[in-house]
Amino acid sequence: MTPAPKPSPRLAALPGGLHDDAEDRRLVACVCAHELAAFETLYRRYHPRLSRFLHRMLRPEHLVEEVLDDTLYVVWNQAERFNGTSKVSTWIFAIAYRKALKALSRHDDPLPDAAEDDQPAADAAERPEARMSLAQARAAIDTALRALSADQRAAVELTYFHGFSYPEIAQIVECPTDTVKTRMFHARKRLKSAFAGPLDDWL
Amino acid sequence: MSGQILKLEPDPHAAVQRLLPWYLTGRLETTEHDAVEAHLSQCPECRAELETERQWQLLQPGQGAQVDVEDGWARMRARLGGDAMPLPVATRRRGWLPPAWRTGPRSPARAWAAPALLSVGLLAAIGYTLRPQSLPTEYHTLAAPAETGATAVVRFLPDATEAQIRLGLKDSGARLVDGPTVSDAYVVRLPREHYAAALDKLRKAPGVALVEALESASP
Repeated sequence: MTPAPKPSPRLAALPGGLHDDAEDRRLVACVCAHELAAFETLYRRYHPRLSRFLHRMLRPEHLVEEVLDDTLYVVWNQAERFNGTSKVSTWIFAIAYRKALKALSRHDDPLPDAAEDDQPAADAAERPEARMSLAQARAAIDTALRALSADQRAAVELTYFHGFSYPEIAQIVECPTDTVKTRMFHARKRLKSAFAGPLDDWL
Repeated sequence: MSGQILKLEPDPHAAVQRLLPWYLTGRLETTEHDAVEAHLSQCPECRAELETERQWQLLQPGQGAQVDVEDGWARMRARLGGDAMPLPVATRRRGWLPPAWRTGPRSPARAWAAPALLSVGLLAAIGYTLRPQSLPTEYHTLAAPAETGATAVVRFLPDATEAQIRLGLKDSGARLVDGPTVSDAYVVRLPREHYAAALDKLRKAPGVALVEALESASP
């Protein structure tokens, strides 16, 4: 029997990570009352996570700062719109995702295309014959992720690196849960295609 | 096979393949988790797939040029400007400043109009908070009795301690119901039947700078 995995320590250790929703809710309640100190705490908890997520989502990187600022400004201005039916992190990432898609469309970046799903990933990684260094492997996965559609990138990023469940991702990107699973499945196929072999050489 | 998810899918192997990423991160519901685990014990292909995904996750790619949090907060603080003033909660919830004024592009007209509107809003807030009638209670539980106390405005000394404030409120039977206002005052509710005595006790409490009755002190 394969032992049941526990949530990755990397995910649990993220600021505003898996187990901090009660504190997030307390902070949002204070932000509703216009408490600047609470907003600053919330801002600092989410800034690194959103920065990372938006860097992955937005290819023109100068947009990251703009969308990040706009997202957290909405949190300050519209905290009372958080209705408590989801986690605070889900609500904030949903705002960031919508704003990222709008920014991408303004800059003529290709939006998600279902037809892309079955295409093999671009040959992003250099596919060295010999052993890859850790830095090379990270650069390769970074490039391979950027070759995915925006929706697939969001699914991979939110799953592996931010620890969201698929129902939470469905709330963030506003689609059915089966669609999240399908996007993730096709994204994995494309990543696998880009990484056939070399990771085993050093992991 | 005991997991409910597998009963819904024509191909249990395909169903498990689609759930592996969240099995890996420990984010599946118990029934799905158990179904995946049962399948993994029999399926070498899915075990290999899980191992590949574990490697991807360990290979967390570089984060790119991170936006500096201190720079970001400084920008945000400047952007908030007047919005960051400690307005009464009741005023904020009523959305006195239209969203377009808070989020739209800056213009020369806004340069003077926004502060003017802010001033009008603050004056309205003061008038609203200090108006001589009971404040509306926004949230009631079904069992909550109607509030029957009489209100007053209190200002505390700048160096008043939390213990002094707590004791003063307790001894006078006061309950905080709103604030801080723009003048750093708080609205309290006192027992109506002992209103004059409660006002007197509150005025004499250590840490209290000023108490103004908002209703007639005579019974």
